[in-house]
Amino acid sequence: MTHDPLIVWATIGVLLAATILTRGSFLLFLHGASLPPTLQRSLRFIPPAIFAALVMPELLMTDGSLIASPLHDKLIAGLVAIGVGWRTRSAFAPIVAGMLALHAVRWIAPH
Amino acid sequence: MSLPASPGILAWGVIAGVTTVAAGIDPLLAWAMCAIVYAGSAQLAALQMLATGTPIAVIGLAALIINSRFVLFSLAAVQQIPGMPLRQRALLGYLLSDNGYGVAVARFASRPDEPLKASVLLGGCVGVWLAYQIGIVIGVVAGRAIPAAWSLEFAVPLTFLALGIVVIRDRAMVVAAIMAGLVAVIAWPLPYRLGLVAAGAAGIGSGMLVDRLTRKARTA
Repeated sequence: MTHDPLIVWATIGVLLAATILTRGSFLLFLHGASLPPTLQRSLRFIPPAIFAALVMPELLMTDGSLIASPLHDKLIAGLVAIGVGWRTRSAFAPIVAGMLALHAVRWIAPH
Repeated sequence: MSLPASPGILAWGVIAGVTTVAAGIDPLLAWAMCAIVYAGSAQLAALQMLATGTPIAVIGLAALIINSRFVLFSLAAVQQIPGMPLRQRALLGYLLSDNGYGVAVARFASRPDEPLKASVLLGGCVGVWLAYQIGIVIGVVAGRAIPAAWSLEFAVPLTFLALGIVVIRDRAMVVAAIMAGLVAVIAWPLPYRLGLVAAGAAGIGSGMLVDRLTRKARTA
């Protein structure tokens, strides 16, 4: 499957706009503006919320429905990665640990 | 500099390159996309949506939501380093990344008496940018040679997971992550990735609630 280059370039365009609008928000476009304290406190919840929202469906679902068995390879790999991430506070170790766990589960219990 | 974070960024760049090629984008175009967009999370989500024929406007909205965390970094940078000239702010307006910000904040946390300098933050962000640019070239070139059985695409959610855990500092943030994750699963059938909007709102709302309750408990 290949995509029409025109559509890919249009996607690049909107993604670039989304990057600059957010990164440049207070650095460029709203420079000097300030946020009410409550709103400012709410900002710190965005990264954990967004990343969890991107990850959880990948770990708990396949093809749009919940996984049937708790022994699912991606779920176990995800739990291992969460554990390793929590202990090491590293942004790299959980990726390695999760990939190793995924293949370990597949090797032990192929389905 | 950003050396401690570099292996992770390099790997993330490789993953972005490989996944973009695997999504059916011509290698040269895939490289251009990774290099220009410079926001892996939003790009990989966009590729998933492109595969299912999602309208461009919806992809842009989803990218804004996924990138909304940069608003936090943008505000933090301005607050911690007041008086930056326009050229530094413009550079950061493009280069400010999760890890670049993370490196600067970690340094700030270990030496709070020294104010964060623009050169430190910019240095960290440029280092992360370089590592990512090297990574995507490797990824785009290696893309087709990597066997599908390796399931390298699973490294994408693992990267989000790792970035999500690294930023968590207290119980309120744990609650925000769990609630957002649950709502994302429940709201999955909603069209146009509206589940992402619902999940973000649920996460922020519950985090704020726990924050307020613990603050009250402390002052009572």
